[in-house]
Amino acid sequence: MPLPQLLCGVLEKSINTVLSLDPDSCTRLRPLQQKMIAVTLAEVPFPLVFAVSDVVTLMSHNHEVDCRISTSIPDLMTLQNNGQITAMIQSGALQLEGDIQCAQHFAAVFQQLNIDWEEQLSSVLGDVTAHNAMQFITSLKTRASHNVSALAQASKDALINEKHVVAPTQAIAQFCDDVATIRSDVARLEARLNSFTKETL
Amino acid sequence: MSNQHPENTTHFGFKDVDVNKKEKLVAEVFHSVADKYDVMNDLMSLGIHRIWKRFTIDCSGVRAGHTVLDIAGGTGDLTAKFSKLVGNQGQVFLADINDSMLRVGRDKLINKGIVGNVDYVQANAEDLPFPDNSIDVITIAFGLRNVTNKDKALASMYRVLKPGGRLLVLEFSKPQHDWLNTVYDLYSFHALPKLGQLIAGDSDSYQYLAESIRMHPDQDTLETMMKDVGFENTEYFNLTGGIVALHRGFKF
Repeated sequence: MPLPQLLCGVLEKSINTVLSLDPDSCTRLRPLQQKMIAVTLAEVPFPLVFAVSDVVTLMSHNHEVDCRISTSIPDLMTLQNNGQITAMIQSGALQLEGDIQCAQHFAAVFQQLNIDWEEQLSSVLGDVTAHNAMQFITSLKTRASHNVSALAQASKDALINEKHVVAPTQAIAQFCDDVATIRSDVARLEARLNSFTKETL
Repeated sequence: MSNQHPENTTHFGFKDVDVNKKEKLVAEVFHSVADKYDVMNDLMSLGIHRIWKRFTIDCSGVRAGHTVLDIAGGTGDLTAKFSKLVGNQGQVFLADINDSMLRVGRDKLINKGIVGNVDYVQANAEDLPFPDNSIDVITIAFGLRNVTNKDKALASMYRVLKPGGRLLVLEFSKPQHDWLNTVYDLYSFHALPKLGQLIAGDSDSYQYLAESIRMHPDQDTLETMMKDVGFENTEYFNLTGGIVALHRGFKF
């Protein structure tokens, strides 16, 4: 059974389902109408070709495309941060060929995805239950993120101040300064020694 | 099974029938199964026919603005995808000789909102009603084996293709392993007609399906037939162990 086609079928269905949950997806897809974008991931042995119309059609053969993006799955996560793109291109972690605007619009379709989960849930659970469920999830998320940062702070204090396993930031900075001072002292001494040796000879 | 027939007869499954009658007999089969065609396809192939069709689209090289002819397009699975790929500047013709299949396909596509760049044509693959050199890509999926004169149909497809255009024939073929052949025979001659009776209330049509598959030319024979009418750079891809094969040929 052709595995690439199976994978593309599943991916295509998932992508179009997710896009259909955001009513603004159509507007964001408009600049990409009839464009083809190939994404080559280091971990996947075939290219993923996205053909855009009012939906996304996914293919797996090498087609003539408007833009080709080559990267890896971990780097794809970093791509969410726009500021990193130039650095990634310079380091070779991301390669772009063809119409760059096409790639930017394509990334925007997914980055700007804004799904109203409460609205989606309300059609299944009803308005009140969906509202309560979302409030619960939001408070759970806030509490979880608070707990995570509190745990991080407590671990930091324990490692730095109580167990003395990790040096505090200031101590590291001081150490680096001292090393720099020693390095320049040694360099100065080396220069003096060199000139002294030349004079003696 | 031999594919040689006395003059003026051809095969209809394992039976020899008058050439002029095959078209009518095939039409009766498809009139009978049209309404349950999609359900039966999913059941018979366990949904794998969708992957075979995806492979066909992958090999089509279709781009925005292309004109595509989907012969024996049936319920429009390929047409639906092609319509999205060719966009407003392109055009897709869904052609089928059988008006019941065409009606089911048209209703399905319209209900899915696929309109504007799709036209429906009731046409015989042997005499395609299109000008010479007018189509970029032709597909015929699970249809060629039902055509009375396959050489004539291939020649007709060659005529309407633009230079540089390609033909894709997706069709049942000969399994590449003996064990698979045995399992496939058991399935298609015993389970398939029963499934047809249960779901579509018609076992004869599915008995014909199994027989017509066995009578269809194997991979190499079909490739030779394509070459004989002028197709170049022909090749075929065996799918699911050769149960199905996709043949591709270009007109230059």
